[in-house]
Amino acid sequence: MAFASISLIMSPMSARSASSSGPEAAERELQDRFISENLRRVFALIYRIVGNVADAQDLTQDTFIKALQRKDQLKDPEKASQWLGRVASNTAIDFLRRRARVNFTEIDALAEPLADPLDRRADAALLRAEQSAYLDECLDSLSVRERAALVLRDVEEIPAAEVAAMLGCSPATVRSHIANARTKFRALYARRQESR
Amino acid sequence: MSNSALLLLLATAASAQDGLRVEFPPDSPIAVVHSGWGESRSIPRGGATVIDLRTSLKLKNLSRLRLRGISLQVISQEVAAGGKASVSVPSLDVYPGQEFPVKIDLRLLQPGSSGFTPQVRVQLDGALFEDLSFFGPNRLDSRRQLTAWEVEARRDRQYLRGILARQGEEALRLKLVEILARDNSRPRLDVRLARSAAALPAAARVETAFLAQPDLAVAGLRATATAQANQLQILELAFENRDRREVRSLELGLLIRDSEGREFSAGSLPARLVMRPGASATIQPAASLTLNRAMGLPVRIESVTSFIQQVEFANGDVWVPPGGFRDEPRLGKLLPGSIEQQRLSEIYRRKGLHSLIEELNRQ
Amino acid sequence: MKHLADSQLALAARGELPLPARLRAQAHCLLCRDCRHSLALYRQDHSRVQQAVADFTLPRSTSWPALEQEMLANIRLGLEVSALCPPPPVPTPAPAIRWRAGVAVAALTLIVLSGWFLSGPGSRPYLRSLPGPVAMVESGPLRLTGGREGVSVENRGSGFILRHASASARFEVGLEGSVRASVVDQDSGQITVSQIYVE
Repeated sequence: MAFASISLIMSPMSARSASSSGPEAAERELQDRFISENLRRVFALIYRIVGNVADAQDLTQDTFIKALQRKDQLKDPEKASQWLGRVASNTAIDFLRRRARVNFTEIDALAEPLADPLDRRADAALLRAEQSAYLDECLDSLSVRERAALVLRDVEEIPAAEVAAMLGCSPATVRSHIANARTKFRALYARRQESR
Repeated sequence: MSNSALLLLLATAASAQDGLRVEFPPDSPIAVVHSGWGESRSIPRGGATVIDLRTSLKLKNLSRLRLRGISLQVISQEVAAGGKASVSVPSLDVYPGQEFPVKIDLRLLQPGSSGFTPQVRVQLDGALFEDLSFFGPNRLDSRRQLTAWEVEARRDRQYLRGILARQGEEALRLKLVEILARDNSRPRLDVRLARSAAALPAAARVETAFLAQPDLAVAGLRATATAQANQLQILELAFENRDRREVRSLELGLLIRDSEGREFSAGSLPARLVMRPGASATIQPAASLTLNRAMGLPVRIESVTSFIQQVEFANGDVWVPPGGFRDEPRLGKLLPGSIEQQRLSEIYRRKGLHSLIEELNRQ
Repeated sequence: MKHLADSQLALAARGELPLPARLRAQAHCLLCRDCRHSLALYRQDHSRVQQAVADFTLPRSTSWPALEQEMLANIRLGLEVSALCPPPPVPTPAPAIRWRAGVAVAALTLIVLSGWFLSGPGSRPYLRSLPGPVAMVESGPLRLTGGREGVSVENRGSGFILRHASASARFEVGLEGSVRASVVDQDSGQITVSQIYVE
């Protein structure tokens, strides 16, 4: 997943004021643009990992606040997009880990997020393109850890060894998660294609 | 036929066909310009039908005064017998002759799979004007609510304008950031109220107190409450009217302290309490509260503190605590700000300082 | 001919098998059309997964524009609050030395920085969106609720919700038997108070 990359001005973060000109306003505008250009993709990534809107919203907000507070860590502005993706992924995984209060490998014990009063899939099928519906269902069929591993590897393009470190498991275990995720995804997608 | 009567007739006729009836009194100073369900959708869900209805009523101020607030009662007898609903819009500033929208977004749940849209009626319960005069049947006590909200709004706008005038824009901005951060950090309590509840079997008396509030028109004399783990019953509250005006009703706020010293706001208790000057009266709420913190953690109730947050007098006056009441650090952390403070801080949060200043200067 | 297992194909699609297994899989696919076809499908799934994430669909009750505006506003607020209370200093990476040592130090730094992100600065409860129902009144079969969707009344399987399109609603329980939600409209700046009462 590529995020919009933008050079961030390496100056101390200043509080928002009512002034509409000068270096503070320019920096603010740059930050606003960075947020706007990357917001949807960061949200999408986190949403797929944590599986519900409320937590995804909170964590997306946290991600940008952290990223912009600590932008002086970023030595190469060309890598801002990759770096932001890492911040987002770590934020989401850390949240799941804290929420489970146990090893991440037990994360499947978490209750699924509260369902929307109107079943999302039933409603979605009314309105969305079939393709999107299949893909959504394929991702939703995975367990939390399978989905997290798959998103980190196949969307964020994080090397498997690093995914293992983030998820707190061995490289062999994370390969197993990734393989399970891909085979389930494939099987469900193929089944949907056949039923058309 | 007067303009208002004609508008009313047209509005009622137009909406009756699609299940929405908008009923304003014929002499209402607020008229219905347009009504009707803009979007509606019916979806089966298991053995029931979910119906989404969305309307934006367009109303018009026919009076010679600026409209400051409006309350509408929303009735759908087929789906919610036993419950009443209202939609109120305080902090308005609608000039004579001006039109304004009120959005109502309803989702109805009906057992079975009927294909019809149930009747929904929207009735004017009250309209409050700039001189605090009120029009409407007031079945839902909207006069007291709208007046209290307006008095608080004037108080809070004056306070923020004062900061801007004396200390400048940066001070105003810092104050808004402080309000927002505090509002959102406020410890949340999940409150479950059961009405007409039986006595708690193993309840014990808990410490009760009234907050010290100077120059109160109504003083709290006595409060009795019992608690069992995270369940609370307030048995009796006694008051005395120390004002020259007759009291018609009052509204209390409740603060709960748990066994670990944490405090929470636990909601409000409006009470009809007619008291002549110098008289006393008691109320006995027939309800029990179950209190949990975030993540469903129960609150072990140790004490209850009550405070007066509104007094309505028989002559229509409404008293609310002065601006400094919530500035005390403990209360500032616990008590939410007024409706107007919520509105102004949202304007700041979404649109920035200039928009807020514009809004403060507008009214 | 024995085909490759699905798990092997799934990993081979992105070159994730260990070297010996990868070589065997490549050799097998040269000869086996079915496995070659399956491998191609798994490779195509890579872009499908990316598409599925990018084309996320929100629950019906949530609109992206409203959610986006809410997040933008909260991020700006969070930055302002943080500017008043700066975060703790970030541990700086050690200077690079020789190549092998440099790699080891870089790996350590990555873990240290990741760990710092994971433990993070203090969380921002003031930006937390609303969890499930926060207010409830029960009176016989009647139930009033206040939560993310709005305020609702339900009575023996029928009921209605006065909805609001914002996660920034404020709720209050009236002990006389009511639930109230106040929400500011994003566009107009108007505040609407929806209230449900027990009759």
